[in-house]
Amino acid sequence: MTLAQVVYQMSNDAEFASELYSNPEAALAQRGLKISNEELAFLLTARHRVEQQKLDVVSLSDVGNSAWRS
Amino acid sequence: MQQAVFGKKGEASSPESLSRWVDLPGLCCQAAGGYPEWADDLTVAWFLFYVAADLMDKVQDEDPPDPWWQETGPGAALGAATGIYFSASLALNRLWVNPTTQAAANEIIQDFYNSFMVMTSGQYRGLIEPTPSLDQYWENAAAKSGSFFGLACRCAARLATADPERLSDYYLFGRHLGLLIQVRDDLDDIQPPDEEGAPGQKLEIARSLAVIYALAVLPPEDGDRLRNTLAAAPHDTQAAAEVIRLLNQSNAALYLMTEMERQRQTALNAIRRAAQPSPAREKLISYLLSI
Repeated sequence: MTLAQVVYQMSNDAEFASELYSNPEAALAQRGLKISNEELAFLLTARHRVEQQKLDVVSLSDVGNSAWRS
Repeated sequence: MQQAVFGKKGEASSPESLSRWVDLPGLCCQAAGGYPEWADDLTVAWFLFYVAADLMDKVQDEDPPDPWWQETGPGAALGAATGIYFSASLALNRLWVNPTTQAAANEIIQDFYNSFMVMTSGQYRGLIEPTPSLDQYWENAAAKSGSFFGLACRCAARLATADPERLSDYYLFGRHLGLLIQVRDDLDDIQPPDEEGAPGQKLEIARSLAVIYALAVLPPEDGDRLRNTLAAAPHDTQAAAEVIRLLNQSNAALYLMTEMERQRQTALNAIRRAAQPSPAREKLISYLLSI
């Protein structure tokens, strides 16, 4: 659930979203949130892909080759 | 959302689509040091159990019937499912007969029935929790999709190795592969219906991961608005658009992408620990990267 809360917080708080790149531990601690280093790495990788490809919930399904659906 | 195991028609979870995964057990067996054909009986049993469970699920969920039991009704589907369960059990019993599989037969058969008990409990929870919390979503997905794919990988590898650590990693690989497929499967529920003239959203969107996530994190008033628009979305284009707007407002795309990244990386790490580099291992990895 905490990962979900962090993701939601990023949508409402641009400063928090920016700080997650530069100083993630402090950004999380200031808002009383905690995720593992592994989760943070997944989140930052995912964020890069979402922003780079300008993805939303509808276009997300087009990502990848989706061989299992073809 | 419906789960990828006891799942939907014509999508990743349907028997037709599952057939794309029939070489998964053989590849796991091969990656563990065996020959892919050692897993033939196990693959037949795995596939037949799936087909039977899928039929039962359609009846339980009161889904539109498949053409072949449209006229005869759900009783025919249940009868066929029962026969397929027994056929799957007979296929499993062949593990005793085949000299290359008989040493591991007892363990594998036990694993199959234990895992299907776990999946059945997940199916039951899904029926009694029409609006699962985010945690319940993951528990149910693990019990069904995760267990189903994990079972295939662990049992197939067991034909070639008895090393508990490697078997655990094969299970983890399959479990997280199954969860990744589940999340991708849920994304299809967000796509507009294919049917010509269908105005709104698919009914399944209400149980998709994106919606369950949004309901978990949105403030109460936005959550209520999402619930209300979801109720109208199947028949109303504007409501369907509002659902998508609320999902995007909640950052659902980033949450789903993060979870897909988690499942993919965890599965990758597991298969890299479990298997030495080989063509079979590379094929298993290519599955992950293609989802």
